[in-house]
Amino acid sequence: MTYLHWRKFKNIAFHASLYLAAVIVLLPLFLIVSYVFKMGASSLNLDFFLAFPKPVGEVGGGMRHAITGTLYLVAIASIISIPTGLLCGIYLSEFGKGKVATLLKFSIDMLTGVPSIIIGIFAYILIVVPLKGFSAMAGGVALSIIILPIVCRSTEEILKLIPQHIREAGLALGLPRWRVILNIVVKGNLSSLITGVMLAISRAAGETAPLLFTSFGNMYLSYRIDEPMASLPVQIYNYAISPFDDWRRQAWAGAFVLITIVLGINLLSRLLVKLGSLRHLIRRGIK
Amino acid sequence: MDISSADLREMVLKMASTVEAMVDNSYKSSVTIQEVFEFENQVNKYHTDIDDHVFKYIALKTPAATDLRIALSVMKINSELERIADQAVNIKRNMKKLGKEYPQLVTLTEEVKMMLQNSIDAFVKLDSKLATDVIQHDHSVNELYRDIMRDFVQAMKDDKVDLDEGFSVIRVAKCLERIGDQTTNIAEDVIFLESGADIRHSADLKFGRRKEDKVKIKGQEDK
Amino acid sequence: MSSNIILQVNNLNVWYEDFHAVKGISVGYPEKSISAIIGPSGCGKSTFLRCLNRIYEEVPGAKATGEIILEGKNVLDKSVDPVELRKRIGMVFQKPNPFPAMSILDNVTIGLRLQGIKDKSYLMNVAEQCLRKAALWSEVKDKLHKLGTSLSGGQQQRLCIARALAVNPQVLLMDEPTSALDPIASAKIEDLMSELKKEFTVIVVTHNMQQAARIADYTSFFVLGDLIEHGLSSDIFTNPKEQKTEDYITGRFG
Repeated sequence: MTYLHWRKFKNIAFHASLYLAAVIVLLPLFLIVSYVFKMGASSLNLDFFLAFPKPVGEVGGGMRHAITGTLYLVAIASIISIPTGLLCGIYLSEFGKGKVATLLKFSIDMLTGVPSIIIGIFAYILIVVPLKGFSAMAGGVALSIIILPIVCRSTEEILKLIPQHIREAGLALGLPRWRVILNIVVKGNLSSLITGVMLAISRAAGETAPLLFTSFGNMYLSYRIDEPMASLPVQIYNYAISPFDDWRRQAWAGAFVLITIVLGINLLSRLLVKLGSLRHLIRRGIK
Repeated sequence: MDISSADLREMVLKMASTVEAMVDNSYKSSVTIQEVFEFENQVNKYHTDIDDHVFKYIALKTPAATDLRIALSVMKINSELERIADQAVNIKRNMKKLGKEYPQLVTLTEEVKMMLQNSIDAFVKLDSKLATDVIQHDHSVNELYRDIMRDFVQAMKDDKVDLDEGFSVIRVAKCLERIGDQTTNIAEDVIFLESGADIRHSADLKFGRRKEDKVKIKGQEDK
Repeated sequence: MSSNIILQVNNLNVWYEDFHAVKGISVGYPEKSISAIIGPSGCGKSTFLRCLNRIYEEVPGAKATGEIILEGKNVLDKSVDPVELRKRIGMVFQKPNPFPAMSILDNVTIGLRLQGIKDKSYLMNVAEQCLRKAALWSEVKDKLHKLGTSLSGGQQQRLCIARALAVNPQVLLMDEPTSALDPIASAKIEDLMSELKKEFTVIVVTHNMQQAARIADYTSFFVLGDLIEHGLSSDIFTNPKEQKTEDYITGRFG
């Protein structure tokens, strides 16, 4: 083979392996979604979304409590962790030098690596034990610890992309530091920051382990923060390991709904950034 | 400093009109030499001012193409005009000594005045054709000068004319002839400005040297 | 061009950690003139410029001593608020930097809006005036709500100039404002600067000495933190007093 042929072959081989890698990555996603859809879509009906579970043994009922629970827990977690995460991220990107910042960055990095069940145990010790019971609060706290480092990291990375001379230009106009940060740096990248937040939320919505012994799960819907709360992942788990066919069927449906929610938030956030409508909405809203 | 090539042109034109007035007045007996000296002072001031401005213009604005040619030709024309002014002063000095008006001198003066006017006109209009006419005219002006010289040398030999008077006439004619040469230089500068062509010293090739030199350049035909 | 000195620098020294970037420079800037600072790379010209509006403080480990007198006060003094100072001394940077995700109009008015001014017609008025002064109004008057980043490089730089003018400074600092632009855009900015000097005092750092020769009334020549020579541009470029200046200008060094 001539040198030219050898080179062309290497080129094609390399391209082929790249495509192969892409297919290998896409395949599981496609398989999971399609299998779950196959197993669960047939069980989806209005009842599933609006009804509460029926007593053990009876057929029918729905997962209204779990869906509401997931939204509720994520909301609690968001209220705690999103402002904190944003501020941390802003601090790290704008004032990122010095011992405090280094320590903070290190801690945040460590936190992302903590297994989610350990986070659950932590929330258990922190809230469940003193309160002597499982609660939505504990679940929310556990999820917030998961969301926090993600939001912080993504915020820091996004803001770090802004070149220093933009900040200097803001200062050069005679604006105080905090205004430069809030009104120029942050405001100018709102859409990217929101994307980061949404991705963190979608991650939290799908967590199971930390909720197992914090919010625990509940067959009824209670809006009280000091009582156990159902969530979609936990509910799926409970139904899936149960001996009842009907429950297992509902577990599949729940799985499908969960996947849809998580993927949906992902896609939505990207779509909105692309359309720019988020930017527009925010701009008009903040004005 | 905000100088433009248009400013330089304007300055040189103002100098030119003063010099034209000087040449005019150099011949008029009603104008005193004192007045001519005052004109000369003005011209000298223009001389230094323009050179200073051109220097700064080139240093600061790094002009190119037309602007650069304007700067360079303004500097050269400036020099020529200053020399013409000097000649005008000399004419005035010698006119004082003359007893009467000589028609040959009058003709020569008129010719030279016209050449000066045309060369400045050519600069204003960037008219290469007019400039070329001026250059060609120098030929006949030089002839006129040589005629005067011959006639008056003969007249002095024949004792028809007083020696002092004769020499003064020849001096005046010489000054006028020099002014003619200067205007030719101005015309050459105008052609350089307008087209970038350097036609100095090619006049000899074009129009031939004097017949009495009896010297032929390669390729030159016997005209 | 008056000879009234509006900004006086006395014995300015700047250190970045141990590096002595600016060494004892004293120079005065007359009102409503353009002064250029030229010199080879790394000679401290940008550092010097950034002291004038105290933006050098953004770099950790930066320290400055000496006096910079504006309106009778030393701006380097701790008691002087840099935020207030920067409303009087504005700055335009090398790379055009309109604020992201903001319209052209918002970009120009942001300095005033964040000071608390809300009157829409007043803001619009100021924006129009400043965009006119920056020779940009006719090009953008029909698209004021488009993003600032949608403009070309040269237009973006003029937008940044308009933005700086909107807070009505007395002095405008420009750090190599045309080095990121193509020749035609640069020429437009140079014309603009010649117009601006009728109203503002402009101090511009440039690595292009022909630019300094073309537009600046005064030129300073820096080498390695020292001020070698300062004077009228027409003197510096025709007959400099120092040999180093002559060598730099004729291209023999630097």
